[in-house]
Amino acid sequence: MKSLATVLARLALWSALATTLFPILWMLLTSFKQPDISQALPPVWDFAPTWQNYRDVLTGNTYTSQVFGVLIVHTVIVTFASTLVGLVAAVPAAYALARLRFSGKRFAANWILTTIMFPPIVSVIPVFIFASRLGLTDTWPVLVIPYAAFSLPMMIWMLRSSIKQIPFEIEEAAMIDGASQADILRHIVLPLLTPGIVSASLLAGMMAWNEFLFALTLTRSAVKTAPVGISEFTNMYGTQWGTLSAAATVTVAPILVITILLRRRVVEGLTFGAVK
Amino acid sequence: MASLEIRNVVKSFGAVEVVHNVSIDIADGEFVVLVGPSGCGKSTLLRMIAGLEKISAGEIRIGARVVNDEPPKARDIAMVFQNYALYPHMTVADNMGFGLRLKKTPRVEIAQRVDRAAKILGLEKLLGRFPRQLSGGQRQRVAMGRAIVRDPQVFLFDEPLSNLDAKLRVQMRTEIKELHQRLRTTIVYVTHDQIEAMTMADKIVVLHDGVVEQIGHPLELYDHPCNLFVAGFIGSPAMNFLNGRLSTENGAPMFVAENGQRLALGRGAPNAEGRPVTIGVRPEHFVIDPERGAPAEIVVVEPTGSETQVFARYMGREIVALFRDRIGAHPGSVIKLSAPPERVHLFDAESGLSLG
Repeated sequence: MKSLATVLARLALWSALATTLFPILWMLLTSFKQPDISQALPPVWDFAPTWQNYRDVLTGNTYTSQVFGVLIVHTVIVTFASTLVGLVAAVPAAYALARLRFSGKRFAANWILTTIMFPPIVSVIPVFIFASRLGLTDTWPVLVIPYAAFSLPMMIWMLRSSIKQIPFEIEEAAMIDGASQADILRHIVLPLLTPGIVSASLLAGMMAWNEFLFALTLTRSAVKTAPVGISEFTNMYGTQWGTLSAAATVTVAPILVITILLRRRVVEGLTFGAVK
Repeated sequence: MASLEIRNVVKSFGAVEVVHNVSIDIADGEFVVLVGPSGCGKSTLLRMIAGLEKISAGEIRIGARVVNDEPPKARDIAMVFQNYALYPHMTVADNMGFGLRLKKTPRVEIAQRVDRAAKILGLEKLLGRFPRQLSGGQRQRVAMGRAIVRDPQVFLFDEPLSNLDAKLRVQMRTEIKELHQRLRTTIVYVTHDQIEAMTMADKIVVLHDGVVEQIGHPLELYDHPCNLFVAGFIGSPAMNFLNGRLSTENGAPMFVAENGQRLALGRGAPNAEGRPVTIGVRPEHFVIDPERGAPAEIVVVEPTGSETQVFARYMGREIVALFRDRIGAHPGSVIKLSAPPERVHLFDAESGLSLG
């Protein structure tokens, strides 16, 4: 009876895995196919792989408005910048919530927590109106600031949890050694917070890298990102499945590689606060 | 080096007062131990001296300075924590030199002072290691080295040996005492272990529920405890207490236990027939007295080699007696016990205060 349950459980897990992985594998295979067989039914499994789609994507030999390679660069810049801005704000905020005593602290902490539930889609029109009036559409700040703002509550709570795991006696020892609050943050907390910072940065970075709605609404060409660029492979000339798959693979690959290499940190970030 | 004055210090957490009007004078170079059970306020008091807790009322002076409102870094003190509180991401050398680096001390001087402290504590070969690579005793020495390097006016120790095994604790006790004899810096040491207090202190402060019960030299507290709490706290095994009343027999003061058995008291005992009292006799002060002793039925015998600990029923109560000699007693047998009158402590049954 137990072995039947185990078999059924394993069957369910493998099915889920196959369902999850299949689109990615299909995308990968399609990216290496010639255009004439990329949409063939039944699917062609035995074919001579080609790098042509990747060459076209990275050199701009596609029916899209921009060279995709440039959009990848934009995505890298926006991801790094928004993560950095988020960290600069999140670390001191997390430290204050974790260690300092001030009136209104509980209210501030709860308010920050509730903003995690705030759906970004609700704010895209107001942000567009603000950005238009300020002349900021299709500029770096119009993506960096909202991305940082939306990842900030999550980063603050993750880092707050990480800071609380640092024994407070270590900071007290530093106080007695002559450290100011800034010294403690710089010499003691930040080095010990590195794993937490990596986890928070990974999650915030992944969110910024994959973000589509704000990038589609607020950018045109100067700072267009890769997720928006992928959608342009479906145009008046039809859908270029081969180059689209290659573009999507190029976009997804860095996240996949980082997640595999740093999966422990990613899991830490996803499960933060679950256990005291 | 400096003296330390604690004057009428009070500490409250909200409406709860945990330290009640404590006053202690600590002379320059003195080794003072704050001892008491968990929750008595000794660590809170130490943290107020360090500046890690605010004082609700009263005054603390280090030397001539009132330090109530000074931050820890301005008080010229160093502290050794119970769980060492070493910086895990720094080497031993960096841990010890951190305070000096913050003061922008020249590197050469930092290296010299770290090397000197390392030599005193036997840490020369460990300077390049990280705390996670050290044993408990080594970490404790590094914590002490971090304090020594700063050459403070006062050393504060917060139960530094609690996390060590028994053997290491004995070794470190001696090392700390040797360090004090070498450096002659004022030390305030907190512990719940009265053996540490007795063996290390120039002066002991016994605390209970936020109140100072008695201050004095270790042997003074041992020989003349001022109340039941101090009498029962100092000494291991703990003092035995028996309830009864005062009486006289042929003009000599006598203690009469609840079961009617008698024990002779010293000449200083008050002449108050029938007064309810509690007497205290240390386990090591019982003597086997076949002629005048009261019977004690042995329950358990624990020979340790150098001494024999006997648990017995005596004058209606369970007591512990400690003998240097090996006695031929076994569970169930009866021996006759008494105590020299000058070794019998007398306390008022109601207030618990010593009656001299």
